[in-house]
Amino acid sequence: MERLELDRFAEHYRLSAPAVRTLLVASQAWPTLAGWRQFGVRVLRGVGIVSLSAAVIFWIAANWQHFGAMVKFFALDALLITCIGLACWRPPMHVLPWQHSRHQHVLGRSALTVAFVVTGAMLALFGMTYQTGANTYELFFGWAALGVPLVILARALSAWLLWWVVLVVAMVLYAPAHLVFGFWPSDAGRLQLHWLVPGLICTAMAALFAFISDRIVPRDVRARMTQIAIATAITFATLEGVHFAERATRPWASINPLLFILQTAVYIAFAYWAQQKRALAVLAMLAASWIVLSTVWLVKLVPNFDIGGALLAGIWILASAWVSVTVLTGWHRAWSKQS
Amino acid sequence: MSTNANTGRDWLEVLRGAGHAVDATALMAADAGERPWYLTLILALSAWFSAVFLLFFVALAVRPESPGAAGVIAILLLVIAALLMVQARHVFFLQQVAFALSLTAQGLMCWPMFEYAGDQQPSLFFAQLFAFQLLLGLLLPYRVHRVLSFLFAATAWTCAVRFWDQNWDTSTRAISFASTHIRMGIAIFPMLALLTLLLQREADWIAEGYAVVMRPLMQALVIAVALLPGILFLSAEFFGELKYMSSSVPIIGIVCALFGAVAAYQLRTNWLMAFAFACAFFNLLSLYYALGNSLLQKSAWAVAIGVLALLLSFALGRSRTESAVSQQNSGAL
Repeated sequence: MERLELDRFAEHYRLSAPAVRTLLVASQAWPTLAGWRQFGVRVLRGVGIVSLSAAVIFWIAANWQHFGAMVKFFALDALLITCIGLACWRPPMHVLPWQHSRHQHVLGRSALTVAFVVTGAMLALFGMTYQTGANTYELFFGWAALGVPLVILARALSAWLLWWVVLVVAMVLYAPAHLVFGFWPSDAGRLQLHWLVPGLICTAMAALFAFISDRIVPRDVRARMTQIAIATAITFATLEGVHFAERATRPWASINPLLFILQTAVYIAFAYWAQQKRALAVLAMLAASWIVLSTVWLVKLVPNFDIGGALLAGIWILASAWVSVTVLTGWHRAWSKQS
Repeated sequence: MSTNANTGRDWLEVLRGAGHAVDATALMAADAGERPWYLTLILALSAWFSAVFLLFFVALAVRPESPGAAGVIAILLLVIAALLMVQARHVFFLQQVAFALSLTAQGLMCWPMFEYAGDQQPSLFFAQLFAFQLLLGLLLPYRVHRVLSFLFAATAWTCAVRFWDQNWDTSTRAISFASTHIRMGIAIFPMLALLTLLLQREADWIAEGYAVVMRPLMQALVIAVALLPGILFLSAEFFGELKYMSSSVPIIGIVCALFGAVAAYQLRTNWLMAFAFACAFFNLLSLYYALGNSLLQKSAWAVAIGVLALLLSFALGRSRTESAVSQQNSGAL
């Protein structure tokens, strides 16, 4: 029983303190002794691993100047080989011909996830040692590309999430400086697709995650990653819309029909997919994006934004949020009932 | 005791089975289901942004020319918000309007408070804010509003202690190492004590009918305990009040955040637990930049803490296995 439901239940039936205590224990709203022990073991293990990892990082940072380049490379190589060795010993899936176990080992998953992180560290070390002159986004794109086999083999959500963060950082570093196209002759009219192209890449990735085989990406990981890719695409699309509105000198004339149709089509596709999959979080993201974009354009389009404009914008935000949340809550309740 | 009961009637049977007399003449209506947290977040954020525009509107429409006038308008807005919250409890849109009006009033109220405190006494300003937010948390009957008010009150309390005997001018401020820790203790200890008390007496205050106030207070305290020590005391080095931040500050922040995670686990609230762990991680990152101690010292402490935590984890895991085996044996006998 959820805490709020329990509060209402206790209030309605005017339960005494011992009765509430019985209810808290019976409904397992209070963790059991075994639950506390399990939680304690997990937290202490996590604290121990994180502390020891931090100790290693602090020690390396303290002695960084004293290590030669080859020592640093050998250390990272040794770590990478150890991780790969651990993954072969306790594989996250039945991939190797001499492995007959169907058991999916956490150790193998973790080792491959660490191997992905080490790959990035090696690229960074290479760039620092030999001063290649490469841009930061190139490091991140290279890291994401080299890491694909590792995260596929890891078959873990944590590995895919790390990979996704690396890819998004690469796009965020690349896009603002490079995705400026001269579709219009004047500088003021240049189409600055800062966030649109990353948004489209995320959309394509979402489609890939939705349709890729379970043998490559496990089903549960695929479902989560599809939602995360869509959420990232919506974030980029919202940023693009806000950015576009900020730069618009002639509000109505500045709306590019092509971009408007493209964004609307992608949003409708996302909404349809989310409706089918009952992905309420994605629908909430779309609603939030719509509230932000409509408010930004409202502020932009109201001539001489003053007292009336402020009142209109304030009411618009409240009303649009109210409508969105009411509709979404209705769907949530209907879906909960059906399931 | 564990049971598969999952409806109101089943829980009533469980209570009767345990010997508790329950008056069930009027059965509770089935709950329509809780709103997911991200929808509540949309509501809260929309109210905040709406309040910014409404504040702009009130400032232009009424043009309060003195702190007193702003205070009077703020109180009027608060009265309207309170009436809406009480009278239109089931009209969702009006609740939102009330929320936005209340936030607008709170923004306006800062002006007279700031004027009263003067430029030299930030702690007096924060003390007034603490009392004001505490009052709003107790009086205004909307759960999200209560959580925010109690969180603002906790933040104001921490700031009042943090900036005690200081002025707004950062260039003239200085806090000693000892003073930083004493301030941390005074700010954090009451919050930790209150949270512990609320956790221990949960059944009592639910039975006494105080859940509508205590539940939001507890959630706000978990967030405050996890977040505030790290944010507000680590800033001492940033503001130039301390030359070098001691490692003890982020370590205390980590301990507080982990305490918040334990409280969140007892409340079975996953998002609060994730938030508390994220705060602990933030403090760990800050530890790297705490220049009061060398990296080698920090590395040695981290080894000691890591080994101790793993040993404790091993011991706890072993005792769990042993108790499970003894239970199995007693069952077999």
